[in-house]
Amino acid sequence: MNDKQAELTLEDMCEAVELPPQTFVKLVEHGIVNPQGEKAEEWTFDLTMVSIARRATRLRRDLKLSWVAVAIVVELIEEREQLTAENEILNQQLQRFLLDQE
Amino acid sequence: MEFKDYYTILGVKPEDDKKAIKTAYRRLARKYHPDVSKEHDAEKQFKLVAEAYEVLGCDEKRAEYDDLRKYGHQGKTFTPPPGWQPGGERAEFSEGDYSDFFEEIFGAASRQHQRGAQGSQNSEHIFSRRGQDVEIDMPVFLEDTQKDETKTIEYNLPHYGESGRLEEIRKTLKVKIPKGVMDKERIRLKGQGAPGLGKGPPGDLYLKIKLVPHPLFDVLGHDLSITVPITPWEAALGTVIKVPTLDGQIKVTVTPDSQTGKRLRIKGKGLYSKNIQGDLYVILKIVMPDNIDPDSKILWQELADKSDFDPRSELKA
Repeated sequence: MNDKQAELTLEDMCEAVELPPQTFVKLVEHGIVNPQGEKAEEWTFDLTMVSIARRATRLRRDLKLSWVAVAIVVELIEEREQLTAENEILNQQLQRFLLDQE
Repeated sequence: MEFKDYYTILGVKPEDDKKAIKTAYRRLARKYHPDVSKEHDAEKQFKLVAEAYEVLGCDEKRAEYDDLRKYGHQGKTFTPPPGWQPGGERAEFSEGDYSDFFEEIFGAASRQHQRGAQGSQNSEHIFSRRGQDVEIDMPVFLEDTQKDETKTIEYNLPHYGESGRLEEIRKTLKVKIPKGVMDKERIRLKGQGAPGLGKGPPGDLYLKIKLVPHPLFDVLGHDLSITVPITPWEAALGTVIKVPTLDGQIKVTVTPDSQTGKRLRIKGKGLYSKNIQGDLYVILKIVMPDNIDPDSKILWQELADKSDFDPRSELKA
């Protein structure tokens, strides 16, 4: 039942984010999601791209953003998440060295 | 059902024009959008704001709502007038994102129910729709990522009951967590999401792996690090220490003159994932005993007298 390694096709992605293919292609054109493969019919997407595509669709719909703006916002959010995670790890490491003064 | 005052939600007046409503929506969307907001109840707040704008931002829906507003009163229980028929077209917005109040006035689910009651044909066909995908966090212990692990998960799924109302159903599932999963990775379980509407297929379930912080090991990609305390004399003279790894203890040589913060790389003792075997970094941390007994104090004093080591030479102006 597990489908971890399975990659998604354009059709799967369209179904998951409820967008028609001609609109979904915009996400690829703007580099919001990056599939493997040359032509659209050969495209495969890894699972993390589903949530990125969903986030992009939400931002566009809810904040009435252009795809260019969506691409920037998505990238910045990802970068922020990455930095927050990195910061947490570094902080955790630092705490192993620091002692609170009594 | 509670009457929702969409004007109050957007912080606008009933006589305000479309532009003012749009501006108010944009400001609140920026504040509460769950993808960008840090407010704790952002998602709930945003849904309210989006719903309010869905109605007030559309002339037709706003006119309908204004009619109802005269009939209902804010804060009071609301029931639509007898014979009420919803009018305006419903925009594309995920199922389950609207309040009961909205669904009653403009919702597809309530429309489906009404049409069904009137014996309309093809209603099943019209309202067939794939179920929602659901994403849930899946906490996993570091040790469990290094073997095939089966876990039982329980989760709630949104589901439209026979009355057309949104309900939650509790589901239990056994899931195999494959060896080598990494933090934030997703596992897709096809067809285990929310049930479809009508004859629509169910959605998928996505499990997002969340590594539980480990008391000893810190994770950086495929590599692990562990901070190991050593005594000042072990650091000075060198020693062999026992260090825990994810698969048992190993012996590690500490060379003489070791410093706090020194990293020793133990090849192949990190995380295994996607054909990559990470390493373990042992970070040394020199610690002093809590209490120095008189005998030790004499030895330290002897060292202090004989040593000309100055660790603060660079701080001198």
